[in-house]
Amino acid sequence: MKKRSTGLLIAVVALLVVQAGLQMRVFPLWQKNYAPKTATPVGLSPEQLLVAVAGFREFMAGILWVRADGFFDSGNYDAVLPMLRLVTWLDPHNLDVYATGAWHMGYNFTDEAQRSDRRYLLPALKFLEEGIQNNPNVWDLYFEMGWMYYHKIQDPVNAVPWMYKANEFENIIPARRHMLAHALFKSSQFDQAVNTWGRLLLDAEKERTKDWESLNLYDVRQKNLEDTILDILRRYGPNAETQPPIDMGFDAKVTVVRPRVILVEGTLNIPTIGARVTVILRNKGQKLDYTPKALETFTLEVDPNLTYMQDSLAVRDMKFRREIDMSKDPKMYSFKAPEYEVEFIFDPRYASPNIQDRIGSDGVGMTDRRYLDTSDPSARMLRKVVTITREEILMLRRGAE
Amino acid sequence: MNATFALAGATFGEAIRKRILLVILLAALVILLISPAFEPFAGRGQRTLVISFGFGIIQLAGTFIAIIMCTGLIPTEIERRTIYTILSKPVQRYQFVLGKLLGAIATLGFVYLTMGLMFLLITRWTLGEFDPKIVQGLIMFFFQSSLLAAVTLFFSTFVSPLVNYFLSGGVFLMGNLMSTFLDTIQRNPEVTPLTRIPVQILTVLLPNFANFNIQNPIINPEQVLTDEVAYLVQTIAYAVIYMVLLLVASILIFNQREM
Amino acid sequence: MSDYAIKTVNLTKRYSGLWSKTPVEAVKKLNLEVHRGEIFGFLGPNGAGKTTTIKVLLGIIYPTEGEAYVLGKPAGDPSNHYNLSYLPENPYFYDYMTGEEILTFYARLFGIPEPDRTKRVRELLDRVGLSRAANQPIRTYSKGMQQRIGLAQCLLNDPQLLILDEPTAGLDPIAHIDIRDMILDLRAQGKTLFISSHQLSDVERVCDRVAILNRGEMVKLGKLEELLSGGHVELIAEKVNEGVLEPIRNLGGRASLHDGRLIVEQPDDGTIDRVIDLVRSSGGHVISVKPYRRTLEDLFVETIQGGNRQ
Repeated sequence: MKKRSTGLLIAVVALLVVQAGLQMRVFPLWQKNYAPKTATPVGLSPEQLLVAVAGFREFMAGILWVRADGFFDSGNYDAVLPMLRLVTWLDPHNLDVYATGAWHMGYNFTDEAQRSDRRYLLPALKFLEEGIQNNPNVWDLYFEMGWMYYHKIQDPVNAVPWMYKANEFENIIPARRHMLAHALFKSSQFDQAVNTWGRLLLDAEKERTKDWESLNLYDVRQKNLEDTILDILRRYGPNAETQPPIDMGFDAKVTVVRPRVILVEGTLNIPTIGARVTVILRNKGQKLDYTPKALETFTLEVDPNLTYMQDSLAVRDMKFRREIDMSKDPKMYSFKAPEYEVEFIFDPRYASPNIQDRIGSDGVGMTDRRYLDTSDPSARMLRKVVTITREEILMLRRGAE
Repeated sequence: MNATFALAGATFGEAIRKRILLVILLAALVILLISPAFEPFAGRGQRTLVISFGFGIIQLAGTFIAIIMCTGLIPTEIERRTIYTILSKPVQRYQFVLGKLLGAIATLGFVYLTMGLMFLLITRWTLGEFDPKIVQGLIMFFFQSSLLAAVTLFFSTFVSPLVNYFLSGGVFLMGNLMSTFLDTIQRNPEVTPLTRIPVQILTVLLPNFANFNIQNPIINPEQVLTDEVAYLVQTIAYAVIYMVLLLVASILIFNQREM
Repeated sequence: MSDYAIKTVNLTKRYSGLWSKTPVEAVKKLNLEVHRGEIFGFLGPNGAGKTTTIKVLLGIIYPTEGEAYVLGKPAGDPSNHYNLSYLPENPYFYDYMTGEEILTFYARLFGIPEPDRTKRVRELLDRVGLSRAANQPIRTYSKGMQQRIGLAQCLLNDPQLLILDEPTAGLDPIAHIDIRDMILDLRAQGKTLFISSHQLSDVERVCDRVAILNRGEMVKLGKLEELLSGGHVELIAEKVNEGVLEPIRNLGGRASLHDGRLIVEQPDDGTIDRVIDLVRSSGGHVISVKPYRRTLEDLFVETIQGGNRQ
């Protein structure tokens, strides 16, 4: 006697529909909460995939991250980037990987005793941005991003939105909130800077009596608010010390002393000590764009034919001078392009306070007959660009004078 | 129902005495116990190591135990002819299949309880805290293994144990990857509907095992989840419904089966 | 129909293999009638279709053609399972369980509620002589003890019909006797026993009727006495005159004469007296007269060989 199975068959179909419905409901939530979001697992071997789907995902990521960290330390940067891809795919919520990875790329790849390679700044930013996409509900990476702009790139204007974003979180470490005020001040939004300090002070006042740390926080904010107001009054108030503007008499020149070794020197008429001039050597016209828009299409790869050397020169006795040796590392300094440009910048926003007291952090107290650059609304800067050909750098002909 | 529970009880009693399953369980417990010693591999986060490794071991053991146990449940009964003494009693075939599944789930419950307690002990000891989220993760993995058990039991009604190992293992692998695959495809605008639609259909039809892996936010507690409770409830409901589906399908085939 | 414990009508079971195209006919047009209260021997060599028939009767497999009735209902009818029991050939039970546990397990399958369950289990352990081994795991049991546990689980529901598949296979001679006595005891209680076997010596003593199955077909059926009737008597005589050979042969036996020594195989129908008379009248000297009874084994071998020659 065979059992009749029509009923069971109908049940199977019905249940199949119900589970499909549930799965379709669960999937978007899974995507939001648990899916590895950005990097695709391209180039993963089956074993790696197997490990990845088993519970060992984060463990594997941890091991790879240790390896990657080792490569960072030994300077094997080419090996690091693909590993970072894998690590963040396996464990997209490990903030440490994003923060430390970006820090390595942004700081250690770019500037060490014997190297200067700013090309890695964009990958660092891109990496952080990816981390933010994967962890939109955590303040840490917004802050790291802001810090990268504020401190490393020295672009306070683009740091501000990230600091605002980080400040939206309740659980951000209280002292980290201060960076918003600093970034606002440096980008010459003085009103906003004062407002922010005021608001922070009010917040701290409420909890001032809670413990010693809270009291300390209150004191720090109070002092910062007062200093900011005093700075503004001194520099921009009645009888401001920044007036009348001084002529900086800025100039700079590049000499090729040996193949791939250049001597940069120049003058800056600033009476006090502590001023620094930034010098950049890059492929002609290849100015790096750090704006958020530029990140939309950028990848972690760097262009091997691109050179982006940056150095900071101390001004002593109103002169600066440095020999820069670019003969050691052809990976950074390929010199394959026909023309390069050397840019000299004096940016008062990152000058020391004693200098800012004289010329203002926005450069209002300085002028220059030839090289004053007023294109950036947040500050007046000094900027000179010199073009130098490949032949000149390689000394295939007489160097540029 | 009494007969079903009697069968479940016998299945459980037999499974927990099976040497291979005990060896896997014991190995998992030992590895869990020594897992803090792997710290040098773990980079900065001990939390990452202990929790991810622990969950990994538990899931792996759960997977192997579910597959190895369930491939044999029905074929062994036929082979040693106990099934004839059972089916010649007033026991319906659906009761037999249901009893087997319940017994398998009870066994997995026992396995997860043992491993889970060890895991909680280890995390309490190494991380100095008791994280209730770990229990959540364990429960989800328990449902994952139970669903896998239902899949294996379903296949065991019509394929040989050897084929079943690969079949169940394959479905488990696919069921773990489909979501990621679909996710990747959906993000890539160059993928044509001709590729996307079959993947979508497969994702919706195959048992989705990736749903149950919620350990990432447990390892990275900073993460803020949207509708977490709804997700967990729906995923468990999904597991239960899919298990019922497989059970009914198993019964459907088993009813026609000649032994 | 309810006079029969088991009845099959043209029961046919074909297995179509997964790989081979030609189906195997395990049972062919089997017509079987087992009366209530009898011990029915279901005989045949291995592969004759005995177990297949039993599986159909139990509803574990389904007939390809024909019908099968058990206790007046179609085979596989769930309500039947309260009134019948089955002991498979060489069953392996969950051997981690003790004798008592396994019986309790089967009692639960029958839905026997407590406290009847415990009482019944104890009773049966006693009855099959396993009370003292009740708390030992089955894996420590001897083959005979395992078979007795198997019988005990068959009796849990106090069935009307017991189907025993090779109940004595692999048992030592003493265990054989145990099982045989239990079978007789059960018949005394009015139960129907359907016993399949390819081992003949024990069964022939207890069966009321037997059917012999070969290659899925029933080749012989009947009361044991009827099937075994028709043995022969052997006579050996000396100094026999050649002239009596022809009259003796005319009596229906087989006779041969060499050097005055006569050997006669005479049907066991009383004609042997006349053979003796003939021998003596010719001056012969009767040395021995020995009756040879037909055994079930003879019948079995004759039947199967006869069937296979066709």
